[in-house]
Amino acid sequence: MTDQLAAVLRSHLDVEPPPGDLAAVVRRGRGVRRRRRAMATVTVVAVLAAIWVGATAAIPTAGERAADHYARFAPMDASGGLRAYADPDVAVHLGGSTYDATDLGSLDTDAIATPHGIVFYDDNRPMLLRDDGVVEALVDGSVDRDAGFHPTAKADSVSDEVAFAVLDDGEAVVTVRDLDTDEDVHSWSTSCGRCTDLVIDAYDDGVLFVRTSGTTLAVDMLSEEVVDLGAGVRVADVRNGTVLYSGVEPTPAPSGTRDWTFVEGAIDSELTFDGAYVVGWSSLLAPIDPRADPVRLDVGPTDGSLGFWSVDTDGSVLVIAPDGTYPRYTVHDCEVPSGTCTPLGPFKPKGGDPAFIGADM
Amino acid sequence: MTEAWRADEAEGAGLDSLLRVADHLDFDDFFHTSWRRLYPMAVGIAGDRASAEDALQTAFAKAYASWSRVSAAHHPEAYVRRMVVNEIISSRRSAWFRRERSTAEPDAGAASASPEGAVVDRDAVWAAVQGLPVRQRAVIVLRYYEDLSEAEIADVLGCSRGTVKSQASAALRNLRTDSFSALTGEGAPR
Repeated sequence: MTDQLAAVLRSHLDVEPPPGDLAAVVRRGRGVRRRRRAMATVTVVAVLAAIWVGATAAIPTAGERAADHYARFAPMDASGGLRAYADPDVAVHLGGSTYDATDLGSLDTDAIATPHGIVFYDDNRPMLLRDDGVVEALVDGSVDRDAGFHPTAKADSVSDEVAFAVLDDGEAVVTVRDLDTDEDVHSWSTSCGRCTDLVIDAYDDGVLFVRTSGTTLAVDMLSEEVVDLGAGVRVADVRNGTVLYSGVEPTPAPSGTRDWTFVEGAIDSELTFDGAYVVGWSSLLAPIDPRADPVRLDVGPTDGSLGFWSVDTDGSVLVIAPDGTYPRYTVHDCEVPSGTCTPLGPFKPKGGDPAFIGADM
Repeated sequence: MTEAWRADEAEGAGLDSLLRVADHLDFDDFFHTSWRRLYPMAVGIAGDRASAEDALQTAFAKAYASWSRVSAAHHPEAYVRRMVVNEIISSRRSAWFRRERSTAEPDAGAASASPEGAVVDRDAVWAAVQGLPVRQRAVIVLRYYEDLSEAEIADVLGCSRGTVKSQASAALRNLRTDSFSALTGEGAPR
């Protein structure tokens, strides 16, 4: 009769298992390691800290000191995308709120808008202006300072992960932080001296595309494996496995672990989150698949005349389109692939052409 | 791994980095092989796929964090099996699980091709197995699905062989009381 019990168990359990998520396991495993190390360190440090606590309790860390330079800003609403654009040197618009640009001078093209706020650099230290208006340092310890080091930051489109870099004793250390859990999920470093040529060009699904002095590398942050894409290639954007590049086609083409699609385009263009369309200087979004139709946004020019475009943190496309006499514009939020646009309001910049936070366009 | 990916060295990766990659590859192979083998057992003990996958993910993450120790074990998969079973048992102790446990019927599709009467009987027995206390259920699944000996089950559960015997006896008694007659029509297993 126990045979029959075994048969019942087999009939319910002999099914094809779903594939395990190795990446998630490794990520969690690394978190476990970090916590164990931290606990071990804490045990030792706690004794030393007890000695120092009286003298140092009131001394803020380097990161706290950097964050203390910023007043608390009004909260922003990121539910419809962060909608981050600026009147250069005059005002910054984030999530429906407007801020004085003199308080946010670091929000330049080195910064990146994310669903959790803006990641930017303050004197080479990565910072986060959170959506609740609080500025915090993403790296708390000491960082080397070099005015020529501008690595930028890049955000993944399908996760809460953002990649940023600091200089540390002749090495550039790239960290990928999950802004939702506040945990570091990947880290990769390279020896590059002053590292003034190092730029994070894109980050997509665990792969970092980073420009160095001699070439452009694709770094699988999980395995730490590296593909040299070649000296003549510039990566404009990477989304959902589509690599938008300018210059020489990458060689050798990565194979095996990634099924990438390489598409040539302008260096200042972007991809929609699904990697299916190129957002350039037009309201006509070009399809990656030559058999597909382009997406026509309801607003903005398609003939090369004046306008500004950028992909928002929720995957929609922000369009700043002329509206009457220069420099009057209207800001629109457009859905892809429907092309339906919602006006966000008028915009009349005084500091020059409109700018999107973290976009070269 | 392609030669191109090995260009890591071009960026000055040291021995530590290479060893990490080697460790990682070992774990990759182990994960893919063992996940498939441990998944059915985890579903049987946990009672639903979501809880089973949670336990597997947690156990494998801990195994990754201690990979040098796990990989040095005499039988790494047995080591992780013990971790998975312990995860499931410990999760049943938490108030969260009592509130949040999925009520979806596991593997309904696996039985759907059978004749109607047999499906009803098998489902009744399966439901009775799932109604057992978790340690008794673990003993039943490890004994009659995984085909482990009493000594091996004792090792997995971290208890004595005597405890395994008593848990198995109690489990079969409960099954007999609840529904085994629905399957056999002639009484409970002995």
